[in-house]
Amino acid sequence: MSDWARTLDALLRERGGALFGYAYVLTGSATAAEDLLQDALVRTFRSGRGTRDLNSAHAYVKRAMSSAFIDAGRRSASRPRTVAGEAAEDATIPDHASASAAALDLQAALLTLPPRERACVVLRYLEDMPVASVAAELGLAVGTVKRYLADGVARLRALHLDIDLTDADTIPVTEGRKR
Amino acid sequence: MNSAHDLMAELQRDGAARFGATGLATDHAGVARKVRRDRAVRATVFSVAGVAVAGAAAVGLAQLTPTQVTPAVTPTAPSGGPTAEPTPSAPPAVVTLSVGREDRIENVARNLAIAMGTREDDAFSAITGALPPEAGGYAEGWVLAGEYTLDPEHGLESAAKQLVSMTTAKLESLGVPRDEWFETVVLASIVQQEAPAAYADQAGVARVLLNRLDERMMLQIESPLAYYLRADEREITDDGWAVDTPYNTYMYEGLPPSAVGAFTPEALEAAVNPTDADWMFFLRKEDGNVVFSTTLEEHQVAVEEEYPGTIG
Repeated sequence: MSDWARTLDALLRERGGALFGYAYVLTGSATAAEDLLQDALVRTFRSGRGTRDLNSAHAYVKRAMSSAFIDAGRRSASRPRTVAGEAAEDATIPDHASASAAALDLQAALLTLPPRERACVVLRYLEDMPVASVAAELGLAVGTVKRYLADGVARLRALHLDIDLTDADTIPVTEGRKR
Repeated sequence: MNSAHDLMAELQRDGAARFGATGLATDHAGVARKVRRDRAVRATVFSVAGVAVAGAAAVGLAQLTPTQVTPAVTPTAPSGGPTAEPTPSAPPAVVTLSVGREDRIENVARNLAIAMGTREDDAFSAITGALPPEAGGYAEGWVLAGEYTLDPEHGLESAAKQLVSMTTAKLESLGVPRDEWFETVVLASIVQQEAPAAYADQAGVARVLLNRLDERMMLQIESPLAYYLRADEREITDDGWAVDTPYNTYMYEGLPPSAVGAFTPEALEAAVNPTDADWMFFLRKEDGNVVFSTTLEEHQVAVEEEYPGTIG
């Protein structure tokens, strides 16, 4: 077994769930998450970069998923968005028992965001990443990420969910707030 | 009020819990196969169908040539007669297959097809089907250079096994552990390309390559890129050096994803028993001999001596 094959094996065994979970938050569907993860694995291990140790492979695969996700959004931007379709597809899968109603509300809300806004919001909130890291991960400019975050958060707020989206440190929306 | 982080983390856990139910969790052979295929697009063109087709090919061959297959031979033909490879009992029937040093596997397959009177892609599939699991589906490098005597009556599958078993037998007799077979074959194929002359110090070249791998230096050798770009058949243009492929050892660390051609048993021995030295560079001279250096300075002096004016 070559180096990369061993890493691939260990990666899926030890980090498969985490990577899949991230893809699932991004796409909102188990099928799409599996496709996203599979393509990212192929792309990462094909290039041979960062496939020697587990941590760098994990980071590379995750980044490959992030960029594939926002690129797919760019490519399909000229076609009608399938947000409703994604949500409907997911609704037909009746195994949501483990997620709370609030989490499902958030998931549905996330699916209304365009891919770039969604990716920024997920990285910022799920991973607690600073804006600069989000920008690096997605290959976007810091200012662009700030705008996507502000727009995304505004959209989520407009849905009046029972969710705390404040973030005093880096979200421009709350910049003027006094403690 | 729930924090966005907690809810997203919950979604991620929910997703993670579903991972176990996906095909990926239980079997990532598909990913590994795609990676291997992409890493060596050409070498694996037929390999997916290879294993399945190999058996069918032998049966098909037997059906196509019913008059030549005597009843006594028939039982062994479809099953391929795995290891029973008797010396030809009917001398006029045997054919000779010659595998040249540095031959690409496609050439080997083509010559096998001609020798056996079959189609070329069937021959390729048969070779792929005969590979040990350690080859990971890459046929390149698994047929040693040399002369083979084949008996068409035993079928294509049997012939392919005969070709590949020479390599595996050699690996076994050299005492190479099975988990090192693949790397050894890749290394030997590069040694062959870099030091093709029979009198060249192939064990020294193997040592340089291994030292560079150990130091995690890039190999920076032409042969894998030439193999990928088919530069043995045409020139590498300047753009060629910038090609983003794992065969470009000026761009990527480590061995390329597959062997880069056939090699002699001597090259394999060199890869298994490299010279004991701390060389990091080698230079192939015009006369085919190889000069080794430990430091870059020594190497540059050697280059300047052999090819004056190369280093400005």
